[in-house]
Amino acid sequence: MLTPEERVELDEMRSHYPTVRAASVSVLKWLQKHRGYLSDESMRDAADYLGLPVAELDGLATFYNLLFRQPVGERVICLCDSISCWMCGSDRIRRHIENRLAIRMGETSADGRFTLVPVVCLGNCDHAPSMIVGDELFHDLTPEKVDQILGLEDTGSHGGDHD
Amino acid sequence: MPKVTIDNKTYDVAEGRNLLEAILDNKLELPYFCWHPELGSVGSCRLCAVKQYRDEDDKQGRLVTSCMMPATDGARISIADPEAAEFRRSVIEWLMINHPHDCPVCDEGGECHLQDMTVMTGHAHRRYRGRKRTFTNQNLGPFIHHEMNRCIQCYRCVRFYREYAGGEDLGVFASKNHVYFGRFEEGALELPFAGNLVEVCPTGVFTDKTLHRHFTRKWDLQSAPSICTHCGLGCNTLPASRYGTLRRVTSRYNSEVNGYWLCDRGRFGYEYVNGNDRLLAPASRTDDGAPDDWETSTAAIAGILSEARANGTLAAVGSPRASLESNFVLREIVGAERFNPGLADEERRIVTRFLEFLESTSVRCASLRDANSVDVALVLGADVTSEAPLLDLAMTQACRNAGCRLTLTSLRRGRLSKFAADDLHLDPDQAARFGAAIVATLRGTPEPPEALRDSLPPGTHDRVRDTAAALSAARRPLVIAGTSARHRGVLEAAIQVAQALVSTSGGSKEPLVSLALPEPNTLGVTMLDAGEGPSLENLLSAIESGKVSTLIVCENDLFRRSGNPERLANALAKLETLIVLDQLETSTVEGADWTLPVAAAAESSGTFVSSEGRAQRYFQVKAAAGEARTSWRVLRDLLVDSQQEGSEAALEWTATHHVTAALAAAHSSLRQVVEIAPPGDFRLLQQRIPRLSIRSSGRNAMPDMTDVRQHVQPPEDTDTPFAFSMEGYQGRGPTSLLPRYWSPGWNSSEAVNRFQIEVGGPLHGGDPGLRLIEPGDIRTGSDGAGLQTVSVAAVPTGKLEAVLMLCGISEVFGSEETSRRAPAVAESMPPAYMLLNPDTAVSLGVVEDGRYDLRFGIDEEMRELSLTVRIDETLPIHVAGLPAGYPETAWWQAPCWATVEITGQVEQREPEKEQP
Ligand code: SF4
Ligand code: SF4
Ligand code: FES
Ligand code: FES
Repeated sequence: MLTPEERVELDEMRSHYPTVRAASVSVLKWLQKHRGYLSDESMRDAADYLGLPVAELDGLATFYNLLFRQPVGERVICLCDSISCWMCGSDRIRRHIENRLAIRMGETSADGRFTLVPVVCLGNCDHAPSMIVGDELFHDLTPEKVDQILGLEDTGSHGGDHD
Repeated sequence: MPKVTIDNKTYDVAEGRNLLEAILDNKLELPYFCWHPELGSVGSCRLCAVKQYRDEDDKQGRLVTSCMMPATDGARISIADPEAAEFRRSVIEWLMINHPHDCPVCDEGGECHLQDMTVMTGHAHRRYRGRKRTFTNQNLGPFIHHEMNRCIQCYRCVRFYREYAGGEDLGVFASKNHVYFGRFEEGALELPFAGNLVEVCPTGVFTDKTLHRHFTRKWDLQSAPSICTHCGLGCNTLPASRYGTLRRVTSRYNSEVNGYWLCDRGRFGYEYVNGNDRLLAPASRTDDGAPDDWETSTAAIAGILSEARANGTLAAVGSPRASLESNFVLREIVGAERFNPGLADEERRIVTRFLEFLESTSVRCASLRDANSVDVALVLGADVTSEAPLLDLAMTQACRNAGCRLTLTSLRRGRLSKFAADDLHLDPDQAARFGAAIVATLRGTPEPPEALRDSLPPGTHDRVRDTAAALSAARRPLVIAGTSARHRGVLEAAIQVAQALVSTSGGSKEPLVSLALPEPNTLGVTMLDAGEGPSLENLLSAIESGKVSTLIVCENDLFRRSGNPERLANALAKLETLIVLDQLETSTVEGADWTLPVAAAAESSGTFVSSEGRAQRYFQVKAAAGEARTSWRVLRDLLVDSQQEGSEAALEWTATHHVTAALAAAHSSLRQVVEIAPPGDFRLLQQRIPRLSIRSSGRNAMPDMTDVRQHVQPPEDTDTPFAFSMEGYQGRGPTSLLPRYWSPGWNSSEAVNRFQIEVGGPLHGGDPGLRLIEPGDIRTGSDGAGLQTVSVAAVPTGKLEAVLMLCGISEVFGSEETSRRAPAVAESMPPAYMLLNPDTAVSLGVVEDGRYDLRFGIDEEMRELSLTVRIDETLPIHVAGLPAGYPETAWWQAPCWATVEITGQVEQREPEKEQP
């Protein structure tokens, strides 16, 4: 259930859009920002609030990479898996992150700090491989640089970079 | 007419077609997935690619998706071009990458559009060796099975469900190769048309769960053209059977009636035919030791009948769910003045009035096709979705595509409400007054009489004005009334609105009218009866006074008609002999002295007249269960054996068409019914039309699961031109005799495009069925100056919160008599309830989902029963809604005021575990 305060803020946001459909992605983003991720309950709240079928909203929520329908870690790593990054070794970066955090693509680290998900081309191909962590874009990635970005320099080796 | 050159041959094409349609209209072959004549083109599968050339000199050409390109005059295309053919082959190869290739265990196999298209494109070699993506399926309720791995992302399902039918709970999720079609969470699909997904989906993602329980491949199904019996619209169906059980029902295309669709009640209500409560053998209550076989029963009953006739104590009740033929023969046995057509009295008055009106007006009775394109519609006192489901789907199209302005007056918010410009929640009395107020406005009495206005909720006057203005400005307005409200005033108002539209427009408008009827032959039996027979009330009095002591009832449960079960039971008990012909155990059968089992519609042949006034023939699909026989045959034997005067003619009635001819000769209003389909002795090249497909693996030995020798001779069949065999005429017969849609290379339901003149249009040879009532040239008709609304008796005095108007709530699943006996439908039916507005619930001190002991007081009578309370904030506060057609509410028929008392609350106990 939306709290009255949540409603006030959502009403404000909705007033910027000509139709409820146009407002729906922003409403979902807002809920995600405040609740961490979009639970089934949040989806129903959004559907009630917007007066749209929940199946339709879930279509949006599951379509967009940056809307999360499952709990995620404190920092979400969105690693580009499109062609330029792939050619420039994004697979190597993926394996490195997976090994360092002991997770697979799509999973959250045991300590709840990181979630690793793929993302489509970030428009940053000239500096491939690229990724977004939180709201920040990083490029020309190397394993060392990744450790630095994620603050993992001192945590020792979980096995390093091997196939 | 545009000319299009396809592979160097020139073809004529109708205006406004796309290239794919142009190709299919000319019966050329081109594979496609996402395009559908009713759902349009979206260009998502790319399978329909062809080469298009600028002009004769263009030798290069370019690939285009034919469903997205208009068939303009002079267009030049090639289907056969190697590059185009290779492209189409690769499209299938991509789509098959993730497909599980599980045809042997897939219910779609053998009638799968994906299989057909794969073969058509020539993709025969699988090169992909990688992993396939897999999905988790959902339980979508009792009707539809879900198997997402088979999806090819054509989007037909959501386009039908959401865009076409206005459903909300089926969605498309995720992206790329993970696109998922299903619900937000597991659970039954809410749309009462969800069954069409089975035919719309070109693969085995959505399949028929009821078929799955007794699965048979399409090629082993035995089928014949039939008519749906679960409401009055007369949708065309193809029931199919094997080894004596009915396996499924699919839609039979008729461009005037149901098009490609069926509702879920019509599609899944068939299983009552296989039910354990079928009557299987004649039975008598008399304990005379004589065997109850047909011969002794018929002889004994014939004796009783001739005696009763001699002393003038014989009467009969026919049925709106029995064929014209059966009703006709029954009426011949007892005579017109002793034949009751078997409708509740109020319903009979409504239908009789409707018929009188249709016969004397220039207003056209709307077909479903007409309803698809009206520009203004007014619904008076009807819940279209449950009373006439496919009319709801047609209205949905009118609102979506024709910008139809819809005014609804029904008890509560319903499925169509979201399309309505005005959605009023009124009791039937108020709905009738609302209609009357519109008539007054149309006729230029701007202020409706005060009495009228006062009885409508505040603010309704504006709605009257707006609706009247819209109707006046309309090109093709439609007025719909219902019968489940059991309120004559509603129909009267609808008739007068239509009539006022004719007279005030000087005949320039072509208004349409439609009356939702609950059963397949309500109109037919009323035409046959022509108002000559006694009312049920008079019949009951005659039984009570001993004037009638022998009653014969054909395919009718009188307890659904009477409204006073005790009185009816007493009267029936007073009869010397009650003879009942029916398919299922009913309360009427329980009290019968003689029970005669008769065939269901899928087991017999006959004629129904739909609510549109369209006479349609249905043909026997399978042998009748047990010893059941076709009603008219049983009745004919009784007619002949009881030595009825003039019954010599009946000696000649050995096939359905003989009876059809006799009834057409006897009733001028029905004279055309002989023309609607060829007679039973019709042959093509001296051959019958096979009910089984040429690929049938059963061959001629039906019980081949145990033994391949043919022990059982197929039943003798004089009634139809069909054979219980795969042998016979393999060409195409008349459209009224199409037992399946199949064409070489087209094994799925998409094969129907090979039978249409233009894809999505009428069938080659014309759509089957014949409208019996066409509007006359009468341009004025009765002016109905006095607003005769018939109203529910005045409010009895008493505490207001306890005095409520009892109104029937019609349920898609549950209100119709036979479908509620089908397991899948029974599972979808809400248990009996009392529906209240939340305010009313508060003043009665009841809460939602609580189960209460209730006492209803109508006049002097008291009724006690326990019901669950359900809440709907859109229901008027003075109404208590009770489900119509439920045995629990059989004591009550038409809207009336009643005192409602809560006498206790029923403990909700966990169902006790059975002791081992
Ligand atoms: S489920 Fe069927 S209809 Fe829907 S997209 Fe998949 S293949 Fe097409
Ligand atoms: S709308 Fe009526 S006739 Fe058509 S399928 Fe449904 S129940 Fe049968
Ligand atoms: S492919 Fe990775 S940023 Fe473009
Ligand atoms: S049928 Fe034309 S693109 Fe699918």
